[in-house]
Amino acid sequence: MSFDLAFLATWHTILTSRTLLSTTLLAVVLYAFYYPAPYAHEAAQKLPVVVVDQDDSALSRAMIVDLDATRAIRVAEVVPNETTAKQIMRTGKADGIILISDNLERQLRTGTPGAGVAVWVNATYLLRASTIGEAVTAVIQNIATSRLIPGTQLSRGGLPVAVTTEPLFNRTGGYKGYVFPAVAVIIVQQTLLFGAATFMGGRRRSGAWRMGVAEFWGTLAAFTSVGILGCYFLFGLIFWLQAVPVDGNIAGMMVMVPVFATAVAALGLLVGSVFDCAERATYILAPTSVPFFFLTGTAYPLDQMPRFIAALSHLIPSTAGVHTFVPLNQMHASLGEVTIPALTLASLAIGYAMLAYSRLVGFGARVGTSGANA
Amino acid sequence: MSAFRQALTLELRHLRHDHWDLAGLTLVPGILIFIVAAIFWQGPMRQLPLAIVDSDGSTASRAVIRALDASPLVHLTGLYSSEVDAVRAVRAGNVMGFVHIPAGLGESVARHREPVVRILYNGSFLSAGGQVSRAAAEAIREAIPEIAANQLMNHAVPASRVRRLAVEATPLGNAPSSFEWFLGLLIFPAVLHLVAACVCAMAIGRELREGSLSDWASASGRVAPALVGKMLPYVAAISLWGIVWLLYLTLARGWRIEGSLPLIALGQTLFYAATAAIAALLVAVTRETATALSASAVYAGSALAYSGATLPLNGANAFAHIWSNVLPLTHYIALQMGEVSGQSVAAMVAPAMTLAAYVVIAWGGSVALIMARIRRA
Repeated sequence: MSFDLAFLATWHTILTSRTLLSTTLLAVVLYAFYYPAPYAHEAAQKLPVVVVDQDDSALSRAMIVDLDATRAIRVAEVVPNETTAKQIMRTGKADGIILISDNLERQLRTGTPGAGVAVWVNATYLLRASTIGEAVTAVIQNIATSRLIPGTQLSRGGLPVAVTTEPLFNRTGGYKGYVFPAVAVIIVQQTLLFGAATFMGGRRRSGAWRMGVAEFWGTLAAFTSVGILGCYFLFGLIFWLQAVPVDGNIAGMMVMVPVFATAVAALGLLVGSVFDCAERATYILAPTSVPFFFLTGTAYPLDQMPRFIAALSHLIPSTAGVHTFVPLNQMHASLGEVTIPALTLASLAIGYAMLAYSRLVGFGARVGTSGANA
Repeated sequence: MSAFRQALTLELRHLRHDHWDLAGLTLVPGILIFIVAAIFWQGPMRQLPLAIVDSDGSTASRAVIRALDASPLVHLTGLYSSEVDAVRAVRAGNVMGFVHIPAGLGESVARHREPVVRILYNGSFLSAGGQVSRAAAEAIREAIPEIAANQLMNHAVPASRVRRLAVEATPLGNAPSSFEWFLGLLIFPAVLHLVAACVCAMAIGRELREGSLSDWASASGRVAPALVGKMLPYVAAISLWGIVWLLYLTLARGWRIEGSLPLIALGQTLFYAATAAIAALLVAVTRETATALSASAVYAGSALAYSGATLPLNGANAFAHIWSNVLPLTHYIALQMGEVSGQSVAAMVAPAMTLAAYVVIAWGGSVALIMARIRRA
């Protein structure tokens, strides 16, 4: 079979097989809307807390109003003692307790020590804990500077140095803008991996799974083109539709997408060729999606992992994929700035293509007669 | 032999002979448990790379740099002369962010000009960027009294009013902000959920003959107990993996569950039984293994995002709220995390009942569908 025929035949198989069409193409469209939906509100909002107001002064009441006014916190209940607060937390109705201790206002006016604010947060949910912590700190700093300074004798309010924190690239620090650009790479990889492996698993089942040289390259090119379509669709249209922060190096992205897609498609053909049937691809590969996302180092950086696992993670195209495409799409990086992950992707593409070639065609095979162009 | 015993024996015999189906229950979860354990081995983040842009170059800026260097979360890797170069280092992934120290920092403190120290971090890698920026802000605030005292040698430094308001934050259940305890607790149930969905769909899908389970149903006698017998090895094996993971986190890694471990174990068995029942229903509805597998991959694969355990769903749109409550993982996570943080048993009733409802509805639904098709044939 010639390169062109194999390319067209593979596309024909993809478009006519319900399984392949839904896993490779329709799934990408579905995920583009399904995955960002739970992150669309971008930030943790109105987390319920219980306030123990021992001070019961004008200041503590102002503090409670301010706490409730923040985006992060909803004051679920104000109670007079800690025992009641702990009981409420044990029923699961609150994520944290804020204690405003006795004599707080007196301390702030006169400078006598001994009072303060205590916060207990459930830190098994780390994001909730840090969100509540930040909101409380901000409210208290604001109260100290805005409500106490006028009328007292201190010459200047606030800290002598202002410290500001700004997120770069994902300028609002939104959660969707952080998760989705990386997940998009995983979506393309997993759908293409399932598709190519399902295709090969099916051929393995039928027995005719070995290929001629031109047929191999034609098939690989067809699956690569599926991956390219998926990437351009997500990185172009969907990032724009979903209002993900984009500061794109479009030319760089366009160049790197085929490299990534080749690596994934070749890996899919390679893995699929060991399976006993088409269904085995999803059966074995579906559970890898969640670990593969964490292996990209998006949520927990690669340099924090043990060396061997960080090294192993680079065998999965999505790891280098995230570190190539997130800088290119979101940070306006030049190709020079993503040299290392880009070269990793190129080596994976060449490596997996060679392995798939040797498995499906064999280096002993005679070179095909027509159109065998690599 | 009862239909239950017969189905169970047949399934166990099949698993002994089919290496691929056995691998799905043993090798795949085994490898994934190892990978997830290894990823979070270190636990809390440490020594995140941070750069400095020092426009000051005085004793004051050096005090800031020393304070940053002393923070366990910060690893100072570069000193850049301009923000442009520092942003380039962030883009290249060499640093997670940088701190800009303004010119005349010390002098401004002495003259009450309120200088601004800026921390800029990589928002595209929000979790690590957020960690390093919070640690940097804390370290700089700690260093401020030293800077002020150095600048005003012969003056009495007025105690800062703001400093006097002590805020004491106590993280409950996870004092070191460990990602092993936070994400480890969430990821592995999500992975096992997917494994359970796939192996169960495959097991029932195997019995499809020309898109129908009728042959299997009539061969195995009563459908309802036969379905239980067939699913039992899978639910048992996956639940065992779940217990292995919980024991690894608690016994081997020393994390503490405030509530009851047996209750969590019970909850997860219920959860995997629900997953099995849903898989049976998917096969009975789609009458095609591949489609049931794809549907499982979609609903179970992104269930963690909808569970509200990472980003809480307060403020999310109606679709996300409804779908989150439809997915079983949400309810299992509620039960597990509730027990982990020592919530009362009364708070566990609702999620446990919901999980039981999945088992009853999905299992009943698939039995009814299979029976209906037999009758029609």
